[in-house]
Amino acid sequence: MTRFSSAAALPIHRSFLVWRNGIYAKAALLLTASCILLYALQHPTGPANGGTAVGYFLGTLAAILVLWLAWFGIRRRRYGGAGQLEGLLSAHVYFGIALMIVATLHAGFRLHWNVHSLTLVLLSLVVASGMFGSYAFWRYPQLMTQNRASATLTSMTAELATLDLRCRQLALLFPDDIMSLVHETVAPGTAHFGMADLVWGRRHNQVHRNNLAAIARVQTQLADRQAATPSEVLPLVQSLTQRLILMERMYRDWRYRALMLQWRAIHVPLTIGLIVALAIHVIVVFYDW
Amino acid sequence: MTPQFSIAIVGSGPGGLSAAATAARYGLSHVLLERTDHLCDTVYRYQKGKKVMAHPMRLPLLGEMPFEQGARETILANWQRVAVEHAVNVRLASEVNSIAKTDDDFTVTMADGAAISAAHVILAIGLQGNIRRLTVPGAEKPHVKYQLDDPDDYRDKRIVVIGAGDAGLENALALCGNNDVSVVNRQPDLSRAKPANVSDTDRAIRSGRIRAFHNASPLRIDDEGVTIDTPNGEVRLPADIIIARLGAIPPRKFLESCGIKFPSKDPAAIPELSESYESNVPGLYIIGALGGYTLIKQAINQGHELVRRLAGDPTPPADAPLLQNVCADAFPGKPVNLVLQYLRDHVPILAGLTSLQLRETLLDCTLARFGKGDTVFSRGDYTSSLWNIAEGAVSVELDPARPDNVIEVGAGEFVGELGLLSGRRRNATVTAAAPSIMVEIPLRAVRRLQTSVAEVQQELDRVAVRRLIHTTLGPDRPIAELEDIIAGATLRTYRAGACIIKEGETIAALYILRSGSATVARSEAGRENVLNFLGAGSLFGERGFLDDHAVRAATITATVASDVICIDAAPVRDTLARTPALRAAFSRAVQTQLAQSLRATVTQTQSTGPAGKAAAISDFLLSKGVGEATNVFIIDETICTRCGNCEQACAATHGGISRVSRELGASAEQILIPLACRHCETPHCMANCPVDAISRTPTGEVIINQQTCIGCEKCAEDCPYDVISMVDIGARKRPNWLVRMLATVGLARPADARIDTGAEHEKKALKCDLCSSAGGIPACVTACPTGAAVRIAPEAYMTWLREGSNP
Amino acid sequence: MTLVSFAPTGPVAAMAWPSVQLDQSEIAIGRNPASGLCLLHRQIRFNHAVLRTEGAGLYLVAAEGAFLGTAADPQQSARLAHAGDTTQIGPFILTVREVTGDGNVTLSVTQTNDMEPDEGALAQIYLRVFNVALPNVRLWALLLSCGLVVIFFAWPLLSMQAAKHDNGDMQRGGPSFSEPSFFPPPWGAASLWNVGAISRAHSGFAANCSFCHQTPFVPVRSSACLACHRDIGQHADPSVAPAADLRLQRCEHCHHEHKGQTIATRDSQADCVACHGDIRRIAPETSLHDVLDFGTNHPQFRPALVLDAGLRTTKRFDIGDLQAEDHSNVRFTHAGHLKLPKLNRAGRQDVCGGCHVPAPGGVTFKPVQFDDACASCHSLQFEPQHPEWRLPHGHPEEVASRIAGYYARAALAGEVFDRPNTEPFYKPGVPPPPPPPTGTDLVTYKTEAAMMSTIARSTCGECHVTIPPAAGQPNDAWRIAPVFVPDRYMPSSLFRHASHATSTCQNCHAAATSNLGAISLLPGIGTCRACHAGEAAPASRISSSCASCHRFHDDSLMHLAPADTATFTGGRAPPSMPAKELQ
Repeated sequence: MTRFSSAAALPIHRSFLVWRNGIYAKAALLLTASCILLYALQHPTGPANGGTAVGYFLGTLAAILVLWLAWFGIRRRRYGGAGQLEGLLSAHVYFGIALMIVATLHAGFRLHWNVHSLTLVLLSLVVASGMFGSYAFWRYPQLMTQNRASATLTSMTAELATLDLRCRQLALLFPDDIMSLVHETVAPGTAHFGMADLVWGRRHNQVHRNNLAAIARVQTQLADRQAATPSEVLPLVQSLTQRLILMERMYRDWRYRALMLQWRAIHVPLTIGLIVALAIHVIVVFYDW
Repeated sequence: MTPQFSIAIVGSGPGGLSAAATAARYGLSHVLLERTDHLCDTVYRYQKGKKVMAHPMRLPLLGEMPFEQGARETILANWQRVAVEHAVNVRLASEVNSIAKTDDDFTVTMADGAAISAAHVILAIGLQGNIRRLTVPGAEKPHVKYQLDDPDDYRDKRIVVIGAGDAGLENALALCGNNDVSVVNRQPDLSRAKPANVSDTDRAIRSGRIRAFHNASPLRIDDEGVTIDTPNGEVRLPADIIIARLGAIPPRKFLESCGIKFPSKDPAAIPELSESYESNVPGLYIIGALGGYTLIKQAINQGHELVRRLAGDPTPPADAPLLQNVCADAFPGKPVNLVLQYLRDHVPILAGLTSLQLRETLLDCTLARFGKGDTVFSRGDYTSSLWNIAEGAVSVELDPARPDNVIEVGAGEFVGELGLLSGRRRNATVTAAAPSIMVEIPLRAVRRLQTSVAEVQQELDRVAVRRLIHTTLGPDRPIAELEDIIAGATLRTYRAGACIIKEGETIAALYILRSGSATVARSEAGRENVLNFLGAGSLFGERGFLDDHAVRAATITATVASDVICIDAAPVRDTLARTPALRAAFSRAVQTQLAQSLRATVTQTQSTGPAGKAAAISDFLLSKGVGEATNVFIIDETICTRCGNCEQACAATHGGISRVSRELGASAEQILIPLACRHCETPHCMANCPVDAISRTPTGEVIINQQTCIGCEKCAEDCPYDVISMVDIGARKRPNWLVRMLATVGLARPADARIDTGAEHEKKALKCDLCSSAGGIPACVTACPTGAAVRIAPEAYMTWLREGSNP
Repeated sequence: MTLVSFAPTGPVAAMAWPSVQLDQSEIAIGRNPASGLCLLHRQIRFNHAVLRTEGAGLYLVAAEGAFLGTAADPQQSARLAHAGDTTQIGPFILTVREVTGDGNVTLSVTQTNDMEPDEGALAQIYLRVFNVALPNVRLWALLLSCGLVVIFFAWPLLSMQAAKHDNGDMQRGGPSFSEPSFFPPPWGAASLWNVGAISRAHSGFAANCSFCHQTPFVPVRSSACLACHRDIGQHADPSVAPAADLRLQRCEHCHHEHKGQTIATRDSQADCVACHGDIRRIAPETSLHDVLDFGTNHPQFRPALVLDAGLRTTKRFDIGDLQAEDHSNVRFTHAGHLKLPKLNRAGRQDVCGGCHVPAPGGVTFKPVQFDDACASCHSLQFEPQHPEWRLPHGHPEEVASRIAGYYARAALAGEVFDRPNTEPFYKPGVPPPPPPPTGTDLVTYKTEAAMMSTIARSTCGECHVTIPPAAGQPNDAWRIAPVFVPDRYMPSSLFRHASHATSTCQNCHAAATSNLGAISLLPGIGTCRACHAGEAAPASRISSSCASCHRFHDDSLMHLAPADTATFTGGRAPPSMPAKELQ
């Protein structure tokens, strides 16, 4: 038949974690189990370490795995190949976790202040960041899609800009202190996010508080003054509240996108570092044989 | 008395100038009479800088005049040079008032009273010289214009365009960006114009950029506007500018005064001509648009060909070698004229064509001989052409499971019309039942014939309806049993969104979907639940013909513009009652479809839960026109990490330019349809490509040939989904690795930026080709790391949605 | 009455503007919707200024805290009396366009270009705020890689090269334990490459990798070890078992450094059994028995009994071999001693310890010394009447003179002691005995008689084998046969008595019944197997591989490192072996 029907044979919207019913998870489990068995059955001279026959084997296996897993970064950008990248990512995730165990067995559960342990530590960080990445890839798209509700970033920023201008415009009708309060609150400068916002979501609360405070002050100050009627106050408070809600939504959107992207800022450089450390480790082991 | 000139040529357009240059070349005494004070007035009046096309591309150019596609200015300059170099005897500002035939020669009288005599007269005046003008009061006001030189001259003006032909719509579209534009249309809809212009205008009307008044005509014009007559009464439209594009008609009065006879009273009719462009007045020739040849290249060739014959050095028509090639396989060594006559005699659909139309059609055709048993086309192919049997016979195998059940089709008939018009794959395998000669007419040529020759359309429809009814209701019964039913069938066209059957109405007809697609829906708790999705060839509205249901149980709506065969209920009931065997066959067909829709009904009656979500998704997809797609890109946003790998993969496999955009796509129900080609059943983009650069491969991809694309933007305008972009390809290239490495440490411009090579390139139309240019597996899907993206046939996707699992 | 009309121009033209009758004294201008002229701009105050008539003219007076004009040139009030008079309020410029005769004033209001931010521009700013971009991971990766190479490769490499240069002659001069290290472990450059803790024994030169790792990419050579361990011995005589020549092996084959505080040594029975399981395949002439496993297949112990104490040669006998003879030249039975009530008091567990004192190290016991162990019972007196006169133990050459001295002293003191039989003894045919000695003759006589009894029979001869003077050798004297009691009867084993201190001696040694010396006292293999099994031991018994009891290196055999060569690569002819009975 034609290609059209073969396209239909591809899994439809199936997460990479369950690619082909988790075939790579099973393969990685088998590999890990074999390595643990091998480790348990060896009789090394002295404590288990990378210098025994099993140690060399596990080390070679781990090094090959490291290079193969890192090759994913290259393969990911080599578009147009026949294979489905999704399957490769599935293998990348599961064999990455298996690698952690293989490498730990290779090290014989020993850590020292040296380049060899550094390699293992780097590897752990790479695997840990990768595991977070897998989690992020599994969790955040759903949250993000729910949060966005068919809006796009462009449409949300446009809406925010409109609300800003509306707030500023409405505030002009109010006495000086309220006007400056509103103008300070809705300035674009109040929204900027950093690492703490990404990791802890702290900024979320800060923005929230600032906005809530502004709304409360607008309401109380106007209530004190008999001058303004509710019909004048309502549009401003409504606009500020809308802006608050939108801002929160956009913050969450930003955070989900950042979490899905930023772990790679750890994963990728550490992977390169790991390869360098691995090379040093191997050279050093054989330099001082 | 010897005439002054051997040839007098009236009109200095491409045809006239070509004739004059050839005459000059052969040393014939000639005169070229031009009404205005410059040559080639029609081209001269094109918009500034307009790109002039030189199609048909494969037609060779004869004669003295150079002509390649290019800017209006270049072409005019080239032609001017030809006139000078050949010392063409031009007489400008010489409007011809009359041409009188004396014994052997003609006397041509000009408006200024001068007269010349000539042995032959060639009328190459075209049509544009005789545009229709408004006749209402105030038509002479200065703000009434009949042409648009440069749309950019107008800004913030109130403009009324009168006339909804192509010219009018094009003007309106060009102006509506910066101006307030109204269109006054005499017809009830825009059907008179090319589909591309119609769809663009429809969109502009929907978005409020153009106001349209149908069934309307101008009544009077004053300084500040125009008053029009509409079905709702008189309406006054304030207007700064009034542009009337009422078309051009042959200057019939003038021609008739010259003795030329017209075949009909139709004002648009053109004079009858001989093979050698001679009118019924011997010695008076007509070439170019007035003779039915609207293309510049054709006019140039005709002028040359005609003058050479007059000079005693005849040359075959420019298309002769091409036609010879077409005929070479099936009729080696046979003269083209005989083959043309053969086709006229053996292929009824071509019989009514004029000689010129036949030649033009044949250029696109393939003539092939088949031995007994040779396959003409196979089930599942994506080919769109009509196969006419000139000699021999073919057998049509409808059901692969029953190879003995074949239908014989004999000489003079055609096969393949269903695939041709529905855009679906071939539903049958056709093999030659005897040694046969067949004429394959491609979709484009068929479409051209359909619009220009009414009989062709009627014949196609008639046969198609017969065949479809036969194959749908009783493929293994003789067709004679179905004659009553066929007699009660009519062909109807439904617009997208039009309701074909309404839930609860009385059963009055049986339907077969000829082309397009439709949804079956039932209202449940105030909400329309889509139960099923019907593709071309589906039988529907069949309930009640086997049992005693009296009313419709579901609503059926066309998702795209669809042709539907509508069969009166009475003859169907009679025939079924009369013929038990047919009833059994019909019953089988109904059961198959019932089983399918029952399964769907069971899973979809709830409006909540996964089934409800599936229904909502399919609603969304159908609302975005996925119904007419054959392969659509869909992303599940609950899995998509927005990594953009799909776009990057597309760019990387297609010269750095992505043909898919997620940001511009539509999303709902956590499903995103990115902006990307859906490879429609009937590709809108293919319809108007002037150079046939867009084609459908046998495996179904709709692809644009980058070599032949001339960047005219027609396809991009025609595509209702905006998936075609015009891109200056090749102007940017990826920096080398050193630059990229330096960019890493901030010593060069950003690593992934593409650098402008500064070279001038033409824009080309780009769209998804399903990676048929890059190995054939869509890179966007293979590059998706999380499994969110699929490219899939909508039917398969709908099935998956319904069944809730992978197919 | 003044009518003030406002004529807005420019961008503010779209706003609704009033013509105000200045019927009150003033017109308020500000954002306040109740103002006469409401100017909605953020630079305008709620109540910004008032327009009032003062005398002939129209004045614009700013409210308190507000000002007119520009920020660079603030004014409190401005006069607007004639056409062309102008002032600025916030971003708006008020100009008197026209003053009619009846005092009506038309003011034009124009806004300068200080506009609210454009919505599109604001959206762009927000787009940047909410944008997420991956940082420059390539740069980070590059920096990290360079850092790793410098800190973990270049620095240790260079510092080691420097250390190697400083200690270039250490291989010849022996290790220097005062290796200077700027960074103490664990931060020293060398420790960055150190794969694991170095044993205590070698920790002194841990900072200098090149001390052992002499050539890059070449595994540690035995020569590096032998530079210090010169006296380590072969496993077997290469002339007998060439395959066992250790100079063909690397020390590292069995000894692993960097494995913690002690050197990890390979201890696998399989390695030994590979040869000793069929030892004649390797050495056809040997008398060694095949061994497969201590627990199941190990020959009976064969103690090395003394063959000739003078020559210190031994001969091996199986335990229980009744033909076994031990020629240590000491007459001693454990059984006899243990029967003595004095020694064998009930409950005395340390009865053995009375004589046997563990040697330092806990492997063997100190040699049993006469003075410590025997003298309390065996007094070495030779004349009961004078017990204070004793013989010197260990000095047989002094014994004769001590005895002679005693008798000579007694004779001089006139002490009358038994003469020899002086009664006439007549027997037919027998010549009469000589007359009893007197004087010095008597001393000589008594001395010889005492020597006969002391040396040969009682005092010395009770424990020692004594050798009478050879007949016809007047200068010859009584001699004690040389004594040789080996400290270990099973020299190939490494039995540590200290490790077995929780057990009593007689658990293994059948001293109470041992009348025959060593052979009856030593335990057999069965005794060991009561607790020890082979390498694969059940949980109830102790796993014992070959190395549990046997030393691999035989220090007595030869030294692997010839003293004259610093590097040892193998392949040299084995040095001559000291002649030694291998049995």
